[in-house]
Amino acid sequence: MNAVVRVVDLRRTYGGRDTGVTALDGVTTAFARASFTAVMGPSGSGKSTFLHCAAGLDRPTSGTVLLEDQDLAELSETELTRLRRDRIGFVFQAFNLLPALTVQDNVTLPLRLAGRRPKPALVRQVLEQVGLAERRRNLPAELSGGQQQRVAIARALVTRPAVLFADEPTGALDTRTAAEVLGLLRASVDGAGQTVVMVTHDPVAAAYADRVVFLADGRLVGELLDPTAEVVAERMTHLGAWADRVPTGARR
Amino acid sequence: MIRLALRTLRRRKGSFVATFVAMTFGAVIVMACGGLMETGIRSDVPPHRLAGAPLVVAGDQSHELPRQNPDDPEEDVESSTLVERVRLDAGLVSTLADVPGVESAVPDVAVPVLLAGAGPVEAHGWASAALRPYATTAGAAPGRGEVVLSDGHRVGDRVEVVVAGRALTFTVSGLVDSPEPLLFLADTDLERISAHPGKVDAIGLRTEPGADLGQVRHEVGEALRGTGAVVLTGDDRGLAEFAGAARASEDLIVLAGVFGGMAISIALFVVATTLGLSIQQRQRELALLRAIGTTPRQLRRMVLGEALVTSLFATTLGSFLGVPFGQWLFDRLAGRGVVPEAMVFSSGWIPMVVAVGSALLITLVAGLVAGHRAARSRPTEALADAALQRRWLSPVRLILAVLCFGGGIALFIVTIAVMTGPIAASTAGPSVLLWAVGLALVGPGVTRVLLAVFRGPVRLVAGVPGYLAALNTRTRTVRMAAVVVPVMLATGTATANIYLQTTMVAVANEAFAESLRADLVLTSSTGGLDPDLVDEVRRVPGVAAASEFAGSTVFVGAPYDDSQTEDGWPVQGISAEGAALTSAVRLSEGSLEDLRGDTVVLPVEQAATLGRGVGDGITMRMGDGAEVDVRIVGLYPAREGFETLLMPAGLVAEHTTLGLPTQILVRAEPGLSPAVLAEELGGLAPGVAVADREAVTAGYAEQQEIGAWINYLMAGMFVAYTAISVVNSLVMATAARRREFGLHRLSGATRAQVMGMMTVEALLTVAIGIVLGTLVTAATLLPFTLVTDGSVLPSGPVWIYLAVAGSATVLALGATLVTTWLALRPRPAEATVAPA
Repeated sequence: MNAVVRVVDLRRTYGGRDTGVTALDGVTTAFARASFTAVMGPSGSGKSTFLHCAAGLDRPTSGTVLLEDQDLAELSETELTRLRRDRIGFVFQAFNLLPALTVQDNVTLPLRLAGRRPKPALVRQVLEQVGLAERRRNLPAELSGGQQQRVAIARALVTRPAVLFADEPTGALDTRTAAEVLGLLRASVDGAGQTVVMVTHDPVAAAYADRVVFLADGRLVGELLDPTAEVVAERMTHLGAWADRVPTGARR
Repeated sequence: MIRLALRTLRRRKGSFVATFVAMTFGAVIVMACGGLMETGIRSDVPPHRLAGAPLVVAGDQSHELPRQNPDDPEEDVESSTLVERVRLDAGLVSTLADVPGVESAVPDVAVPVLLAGAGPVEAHGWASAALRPYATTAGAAPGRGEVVLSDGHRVGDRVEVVVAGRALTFTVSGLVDSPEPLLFLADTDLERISAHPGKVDAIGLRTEPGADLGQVRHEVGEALRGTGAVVLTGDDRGLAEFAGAARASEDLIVLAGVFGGMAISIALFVVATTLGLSIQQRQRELALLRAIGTTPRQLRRMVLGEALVTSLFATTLGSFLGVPFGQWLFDRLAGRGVVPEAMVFSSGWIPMVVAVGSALLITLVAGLVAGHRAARSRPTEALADAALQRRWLSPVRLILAVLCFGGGIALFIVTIAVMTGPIAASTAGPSVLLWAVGLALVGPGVTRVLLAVFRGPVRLVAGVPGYLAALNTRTRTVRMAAVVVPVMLATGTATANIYLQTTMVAVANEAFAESLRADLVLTSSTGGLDPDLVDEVRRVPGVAAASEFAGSTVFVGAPYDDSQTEDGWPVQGISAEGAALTSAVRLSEGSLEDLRGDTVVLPVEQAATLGRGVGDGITMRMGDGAEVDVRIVGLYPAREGFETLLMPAGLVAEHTTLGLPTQILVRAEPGLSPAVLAEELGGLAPGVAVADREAVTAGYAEQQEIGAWINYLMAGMFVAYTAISVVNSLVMATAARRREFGLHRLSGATRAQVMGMMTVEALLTVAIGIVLGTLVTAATLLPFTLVTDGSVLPSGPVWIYLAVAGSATVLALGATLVTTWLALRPRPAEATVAPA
């Protein structure tokens, strides 16, 4: 398998030894190039922590994260930041944009941070890709929530990253705008061969992915290829019930 | 990155304005102090009467203190300024007249006199009129028994001139045009009334036409070699005209140095606080930047760059405002007689460079600290909801805090163990800062402890708002500490500085009252009293004893005096006859009766330091620099911090600018009412005023207040500065909670309940700030009050403390509630979705 991201035996605990909380408890998986993966699980299953560790936003307590065969643990904070800037794209649930910058400035920010002058053609292309070419001089506050998320996706795509991580990108959106955003992500995978990893708790959102991995209590508990919303929902219901039965402190 | 920072500025107008104001204020104060210092260093005193003489020769007012080991070239030479005018030998006039290039050398002597109907004026010899030059606008030059005046008389009028309590009558021979009142006598007449015959105050030199001034100056300098006189040119010439200007400029330098230093440390604190707060406000934005690939270095540079750009503008504005503010301060000082009005305030490029430089340096330090904090922000915080700061104490903070407390304790111990009297106040300034900064560093922890104390009662008293406030303060302790600290600093510096002053003044007044045993004091409106007057006073029936009095500052020339500072020793000149009844000094050895001729009475401690006792001889350097060998005739136990030497009044007066005793202390016969005696004494001589004990002590207290006033002014300035920081922090901290207020409203809280909650929080904040500020004050003042008057509490009215605490409360409540009210204006739902 041509894996862009590979995580091996990932563990992450918060707090001290005695009172600590285990958020990830030995997760091993990989994400193939040009694939769209959804990470699912009930609240407190460790899916956000998993995303943060895999994306180099947080450092695991133990275990390995390989991005294009580069071990993230070997990198200093600054090197890790550069790697995030150049090779990883992010879309968060909200507060993605700097409110003082226009759409265009927000999108080109990662390039400017890297000291590169954004090529107008590239910027136009990316903005067109998310359908916001006309709004490029607007401030984020003048856009709807869905539009703001599309700007965030444009920003994440502008550096042509190896992988795009999205943390509940549709969590704050209504069904219709959510569909636009998810369609956009799907299109970037199909059209440009982008690799996307998305954390979500919404079975409909997960159905856009090629593959769904299920987390519960910090462990990988299942996988589903070519998911449909119904099957995912069904699995989630069981997962929830299963998680309720297990009396551990593994909640974040 | 800086461009990015500047673009985001418009979203952060509030914090930007706060930082800007703090920086501008800092630059203004530093620059004003710099201007005062430059003025002191330059001491430009443009000549008035001597303006027509390009060169002025005067005595050198500075002198070197004796060294412990004169053979040791390594030992520092300390120099000091003599308080009395150093006069020149009249013989020097002819020597200077012979110097090539000098057209004429004209002596100048000032004699303070009282012109009947016009008040005190200076009398000068007619020859010196050529130095401005003054020309008669009517009449002619004064002959013997004649006078030339500057105001409203007519030629031929007879006027009464009082010299040292003796009335003389002169005929007006001519008039001159002069802005200030002046009086010229024939030179022979002036010589007759001068207290220093054979001496001149200064010598004005007029150069030959076409002579090279630099060359002549050099030649004059050669001619003066070994005479102890100096040549003055330009705006320095006024130093010869206005006695005391040299001393005043030295005081000005010290004053400016002390306050400038304090201004810099407080500015650093205020700027660092505001910058830190604005970083806290931007936590989410910074975390987002980190997440999308901004390196910690880039964030640091961004924060620092933004701070420096802000500082550049703020400082530029500040340096424009600094000059007028410095001028204003200087005018206040001149108005109170702290510096001579003739001195010119000059604030050139040096204070500007210093102000800009120190402001940039302050910003650099504050920006580095803030940038460090910004760079530490974790990218994952962008995803979390409003991050609560949980750091109580970093190792660096702890180390610095321990250092500060250590320093504070060391000063505490040093003050109690080593210092005596009013000098103990000198440790107070650094002490306030050390305790305040130390407490600021451990602010969160201390705040938490005090919160735990206050929380219970607050919940009991304040109902629902109290309950909410208690919950808030529990989870937001670190942020709350950021607001508590400026409140502490403002109340701490205010109360410590003000009570320091009131205590010092009270102690000095007490010491003065103790030392004054006379029932009545005679003073002269011209300053000096005729030396024969004291005998006349003694002959008045009902006078039990009378003593002359003259004050000055002297130095011990030999042997080496280890306890001598550059301020020298205060000396009181008294008469041996009557001293026993009019002086409070009780000798432990020797007798005041022997205080005649060249003699001195020393404090016991000082004699021990010198290794001399009664009957031994020492060399004194008098107020005008003259060296006199004196014999020790007595020792007395002096009150700590008020060590004063006693010498015969005649000896002290001879070496003062005035040349005459300034007071006569009178003790009435037992049973005789001083008031009755006062009436009798008042008629003895013209221009003599008689005051009773109360009037004299009140007059002394008033003088003390003038000195203290500067300190009040400066303390007030710093309090105003820290008040800005209090308001800043409160406004910023409150405005950042808009979302929270919206959530409260959505959960059913009324506007009044939210306002109530914030009132309780603000009161809690102020209460903790005041408690800590009081702690700082106590730690600063306790050693001082213990040393000076042995009490635990400072002397001074309680209302000052209440006023400071009250203003802090009003300020904090005002800032919090206005901001809360503004934040509560939008509908709650809008507030919750608006970016925090």
